Amino acid sequence: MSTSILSAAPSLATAIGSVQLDSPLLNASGAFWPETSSQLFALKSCMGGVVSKTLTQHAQAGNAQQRTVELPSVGMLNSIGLQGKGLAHFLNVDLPALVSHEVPVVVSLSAGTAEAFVAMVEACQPHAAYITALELNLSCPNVKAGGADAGSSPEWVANVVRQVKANTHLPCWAKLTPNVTSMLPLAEAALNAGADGLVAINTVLGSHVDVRRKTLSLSRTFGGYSGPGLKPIALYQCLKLAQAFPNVPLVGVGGISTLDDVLEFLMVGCSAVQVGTASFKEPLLFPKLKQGLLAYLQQEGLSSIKPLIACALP
Amino acid sequence: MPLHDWPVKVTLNQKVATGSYEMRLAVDEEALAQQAVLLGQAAPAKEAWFDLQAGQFFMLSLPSDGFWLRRPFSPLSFNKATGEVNLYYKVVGVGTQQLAQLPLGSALQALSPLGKPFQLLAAPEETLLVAGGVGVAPLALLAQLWPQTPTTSQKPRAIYGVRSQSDLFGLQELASGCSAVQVCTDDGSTGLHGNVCDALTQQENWLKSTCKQVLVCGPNPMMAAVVRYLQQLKPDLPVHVSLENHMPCGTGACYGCVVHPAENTANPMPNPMPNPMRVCLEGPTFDARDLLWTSNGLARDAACTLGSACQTSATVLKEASV
Repeated sequence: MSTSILSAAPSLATAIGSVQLDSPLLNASGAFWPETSSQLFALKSCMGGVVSKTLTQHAQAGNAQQRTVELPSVGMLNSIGLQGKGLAHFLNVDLPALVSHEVPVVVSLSAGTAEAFVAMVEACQPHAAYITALELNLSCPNVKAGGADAGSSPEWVANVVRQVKANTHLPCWAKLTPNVTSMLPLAEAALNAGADGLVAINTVLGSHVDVRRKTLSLSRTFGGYSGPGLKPIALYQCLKLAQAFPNVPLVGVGGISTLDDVLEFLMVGCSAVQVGTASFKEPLLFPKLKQGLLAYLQQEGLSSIKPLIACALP
Repeated sequence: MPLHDWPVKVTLNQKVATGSYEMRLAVDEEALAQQAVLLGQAAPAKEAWFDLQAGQFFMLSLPSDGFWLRRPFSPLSFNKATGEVNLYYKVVGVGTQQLAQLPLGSALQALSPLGKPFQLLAAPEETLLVAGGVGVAPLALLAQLWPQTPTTSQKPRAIYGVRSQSDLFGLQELASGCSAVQVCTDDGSTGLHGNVCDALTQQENWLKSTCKQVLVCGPNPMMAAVVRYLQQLKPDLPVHVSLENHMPCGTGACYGCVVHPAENTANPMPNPMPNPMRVCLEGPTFDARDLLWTSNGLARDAACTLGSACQTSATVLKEASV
């Protein structure tokens, strides 16, 4: 193979603070099942990393049915409620399976108290060699304890991040809720407490009525909205965060479904993006976005995505 | 069976009864070759489109004008000579309305195969298939695909319940793999005037003496009634059901399609708390004994509704009542 061809291939490499990734394309937590997707494409060649489904300390049954409703042409609502088998099961069973795909693993955590977060982080420590970063989900709209309500308080966010950071050397990203008047106080609290990066946004609160049955569709009456309609909202929040905190390591998420969407988030200052709901519609979206990004860089005569990051900021 | 996101074309899409459609899908070889380039892999042989076992399903895209989640479908039959997979669907919402409008030649994607196939525990002649409405599809496919059954007497029996004669789609496909099909209709327009449980009653002697497994697919209230009837008649008779549910991803990612496990089952959840099971991944076929049934369907709430003391579900119940 000729080296000139290799050197001509643009690089998708990016960095979120100290975390170096081969690609800015990550999945959004809870919208990706590696065992299925890895049957379709090589995770390590199409994704910069895999973000786990948000883990809770203990097994959790989640919310009652009905948990999801489609919103035709604009996306969906979900109120899953972080169902899962708990952190220990993930660390012992799912993490080794993920590591076998040779892809960086971001572990997403949720807990009701800072103490429980610390206990989870301590449980992660023996596995730290296999964990690239921790994503602190401070914004799930579908759980009572430690969800978006608690995550709307800068004091709570600061306390969790500070205590987590005191107990791990792993990079910690704070995933913040957009269900507030301004995300800036939350971001400031997280950064001052030592967060190594911000992930914005989580789903936006929404409801739906089944008109035929004259009832609310979701058992919990509301849920989190995701899908293409979320994109301008997420982009606005990322823009505001990038402007308020120049050069802050920022991961953009919300409604991303096309190459242009990815580029928009990079151009407002995100170093990486997360793709969720759109991959339900298009299981091959990651290989498509990767190919699209490479083609775009070639067409623009760029050797890297780095000049794109924040290039649209005034 | 390897999973592929198959590019397919609609080769037939016709109304077969009020609100019911038949659709045929064949692999789009040109698009498949392009997709292989994208993935840097060799394209699968197009015959692998038929590598789906009865009970498994695929997630079919809808016309891509705007955002649409895919829909799960179980094939009714294969036509290997023409390369077509045959579906039977009912228009139940805006998504299937869109599907019904699709002209021939439309390009769709089908993520296949997904889910667990029917687990077969008995010889075909000791097996009863109970179908309700469009639930006929996986059972008809099973009957057709059942490993070589040389004589008619060695084929499974079937009961097929519909509202009315005009809803009897897929009967030919079902009958082709069965020794006998007992049809029943709610309105008595053909076959037995009654529901599938009335038909089961007529087979009570055979069920008691010979039947070693029952496979059921249909609306949840029908399945609940069949399960209840059979549990009373012959408690140790294995009854397996194929479920459907709202299924945003179909791949295990979103946990949107869960059903609740019965307590004290042998289901392989490695934690002590009843963790709801994903229809798409842990199903869609289940041993009925592993599921939490209610009088007219499946529990929509956590297993604590039966009174166990798990704290998580208690929280769920409280939240759900807000």
